[in-house]
Amino acid sequence: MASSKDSERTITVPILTRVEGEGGLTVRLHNGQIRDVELRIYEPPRLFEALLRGRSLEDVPDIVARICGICPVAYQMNAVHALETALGVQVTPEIRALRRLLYCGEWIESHSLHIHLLHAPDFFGCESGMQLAQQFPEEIKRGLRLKKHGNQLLEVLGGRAIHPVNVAVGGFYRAPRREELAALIPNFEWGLQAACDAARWVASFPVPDFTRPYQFVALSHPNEYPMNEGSVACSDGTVVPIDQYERHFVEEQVPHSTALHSLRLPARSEYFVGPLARINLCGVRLAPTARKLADELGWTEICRNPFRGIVARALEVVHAYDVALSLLRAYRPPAVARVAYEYRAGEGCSVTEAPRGMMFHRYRIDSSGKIELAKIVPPTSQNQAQIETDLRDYLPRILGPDDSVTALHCERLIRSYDPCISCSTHFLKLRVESTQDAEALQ
Amino acid sequence: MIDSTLFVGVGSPHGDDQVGWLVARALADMSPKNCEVRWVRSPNELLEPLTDRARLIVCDACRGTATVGTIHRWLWPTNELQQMRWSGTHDVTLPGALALAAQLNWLPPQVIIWAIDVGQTTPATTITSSLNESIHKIVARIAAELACDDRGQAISPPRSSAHA
Repeated sequence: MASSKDSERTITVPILTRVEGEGGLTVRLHNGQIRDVELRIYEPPRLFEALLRGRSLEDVPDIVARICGICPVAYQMNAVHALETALGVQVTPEIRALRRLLYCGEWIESHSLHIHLLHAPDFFGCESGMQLAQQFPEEIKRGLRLKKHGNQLLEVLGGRAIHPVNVAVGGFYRAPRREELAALIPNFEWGLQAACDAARWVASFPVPDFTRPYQFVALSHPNEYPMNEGSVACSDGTVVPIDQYERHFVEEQVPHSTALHSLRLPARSEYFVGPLARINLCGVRLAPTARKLADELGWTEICRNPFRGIVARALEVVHAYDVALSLLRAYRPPAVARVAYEYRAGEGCSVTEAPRGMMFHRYRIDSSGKIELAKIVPPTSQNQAQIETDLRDYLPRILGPDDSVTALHCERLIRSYDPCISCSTHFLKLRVESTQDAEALQ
Repeated sequence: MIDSTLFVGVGSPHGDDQVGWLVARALADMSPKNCEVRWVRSPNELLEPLTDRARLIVCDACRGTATVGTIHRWLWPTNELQQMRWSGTHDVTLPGALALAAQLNWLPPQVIIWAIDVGQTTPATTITSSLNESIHKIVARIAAELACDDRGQAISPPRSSAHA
């Protein structure tokens, strides 16, 4: 939608589709130059942090899971890790492995949905996954089967596919029987090969030539590809211990968004989280099949093209299948499904890697196990400032007379981040406003 | 052996959005022959090959122009689904999921969609009491159709739209 006056031009795209949540984009131009780019998130604040205060710490994993229907496990993992730190609880290696397996299910389910139905249509000028399915029916079928495997794993391990209910502080309410997990192995063996084929397909997509000097940030672990544990690594070489997170990253309110913007200190600069950051920083620790495939696909250097995020995401699906298969094959029910603990006053924080990027939680609890303070920093609020900076750079390349085309290009760039607006509070409408000095009009 | 009919109730625990689940549970309690009953949270969960079935029956809540409690029955494909308001994450609504499944040739030969017009779907609320009667009616109708099918009798011709 566009309107113009002598000194002003406004372009509005009412709705950006195929992301989770509701938001918009405003672009202001002055004398044809980009003046402002605002990723507007107008979904009402959801106030989960305040909702948790005064609740029993056992309620937290199930409440925070409700923040998102696509990545509830990420919220649950962060919550239990942070609360266990506060309580001084050390989980067993078997519980740690089961949590890793659960997270693999979420990565497979979330990434497969985004790759096939939400993002892939952009590369072929399709409006929807359904339209893309006319061109690539077998590829979409394969993608939906992969997604289903992720859901099945969540069901077995988490009790149900959406908003799992089996995650507890200290472990799990119930450990699955060996045969329940063993039954998934044939599907996951097929899925590992299918995920490799999907990654090859995705790597063949025509990608816009656009690179930027990103500051990538991701969790980093000495022995594993990042998921549940480690320190925060930045592409400039900085390593931040989890408990120092808030000294290096700060959330700020901006007038045009109900989601906070997370920035990196001391410069209050934007940074990039998600699969592209993880692969760039920790690609050497991908599971063997994914590592080999990354080499085959030529992923040998740091990639600074956000549109290639879909390839990073596809490689992570392969990684998740590879890890999950190893864990499924090795599984023996743990002697103890949940480590016991005593209440004590304390504070703890955690960082894990949600499918769409790094997530931070911090909780303070009192001596009776009640939550006194909760802080949650989801990945989308961390990427928001980066998306705006990207658009400032990208828009001059694509800004043309047809506002609908401009808007479509903006949407595609935004979707490459897989934003979850519901998580960050939380979808997208584009408005472009253009002004000119009076003399410029003469 | 796989049941020839798959019944899927779509819903959530929130207010009137429960109707699909309540119908599924009531139907499951009746243990209908040759019919597998499932309840799911998202229409996404319909996206799997169902060509080994003879029939898919789906029940969901919808918002149309009719009064709360109005029962609808459609035979897929129908454009009339677009006239109703449905909900789902990532823009995946029941008609959207069925359209994608049809595009992928994953639907069985017959797909019947039952829906009930609902009111509030506020989290943590109970169902509007007037909907209980609609749920009983819809369960009875579906059970009768399944029984009729089990006796090898022809299923009553579906009304392509309208208030059933």
